Amino acid sequence: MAKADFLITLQGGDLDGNWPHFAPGSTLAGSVQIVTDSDLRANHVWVRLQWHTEGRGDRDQGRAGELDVFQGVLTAQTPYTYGFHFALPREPWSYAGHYINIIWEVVVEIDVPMAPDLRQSQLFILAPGSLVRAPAAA
Amino acid sequence: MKTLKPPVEARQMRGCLAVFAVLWLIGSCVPLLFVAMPLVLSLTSGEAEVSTAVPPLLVTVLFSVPFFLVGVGLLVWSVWPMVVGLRVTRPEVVVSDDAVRPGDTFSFSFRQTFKRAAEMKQASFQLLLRETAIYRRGTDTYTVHHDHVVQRHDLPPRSFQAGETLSDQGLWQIPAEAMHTFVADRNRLRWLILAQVGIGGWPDFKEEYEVRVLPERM
Repeated sequence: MAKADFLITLQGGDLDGNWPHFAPGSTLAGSVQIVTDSDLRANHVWVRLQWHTEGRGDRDQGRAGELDVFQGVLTAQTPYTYGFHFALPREPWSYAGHYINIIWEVVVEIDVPMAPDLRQSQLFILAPGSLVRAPAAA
Repeated sequence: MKTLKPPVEARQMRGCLAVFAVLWLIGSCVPLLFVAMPLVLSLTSGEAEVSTAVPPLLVTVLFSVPFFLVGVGLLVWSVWPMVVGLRVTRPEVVVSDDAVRPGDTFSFSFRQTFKRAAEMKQASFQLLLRETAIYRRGTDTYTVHHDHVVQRHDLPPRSFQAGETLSDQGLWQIPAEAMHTFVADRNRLRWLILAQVGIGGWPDFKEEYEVRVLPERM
């Protein structure tokens, strides 16, 4: 089974803990570099902007943007670099609560025919300030 | 100024539950009818004796009682607000704005009339963020809530005469760093004002009113 190394780089944004932070309504720009260990045919290489929930509840998710950056054969050991930019929506904000967390990410996925897709994601924070947390009790 | 009302879904759910409870109660009585009627007829006609007729009747009664009690419980829960409404009117709740931003301040006014003289044990109003998570385990679906109370206002006990009105108003503030309202299929973050009025010797009045917090910062 083919393997790929991904390097997703997000440009700009302030660092909030371990994750870059972006304001709602701003532009998220970045690049992804892909190196495969063997020749790999890709129906698509997708770059997606999406959010999902984690925590006690079952998963909800939403997609705010999607780019198809490549179709064809990825040659082994050859770095392929693609740039992307998305207009960030106004909501939902990233959130860390008691039962619910809302997480934003850029996901790069190689659609491999007749085989499991290869994917990697880079998390980031979408909020007007720092990561929004559950309010303190009165 | 905007008038707030409790979520329609809650009232619809109680209405549906009341109908279901009535049907459940009728259904729980069906075995009794099918067993008891022939037994009574055979006893009165002398075809059967008490010693042979009573045991199956007892078994049927014992089998039906739990189902009947469940039906009674469902019916009582579904009509509970109507019971509370015998003592107090539905309140009039008015806010300066029902769509606010984090950091915004808004006014809240609550008015409720007592239909009969009563002792109010206490009244409390809470502004809270409710996290609701829905998940499935096998074929069962579970819903859990966690409330983050950010502001609270209590009224002391007092007596009310028939026709007298409980009235309270004040300013509430959504914290500046708060999360906006978020509603998805299985995960929800909702801002609510929870009003509770304790009435001596009577079920408490309890109602929730939603305030929408927009994804904008001041």
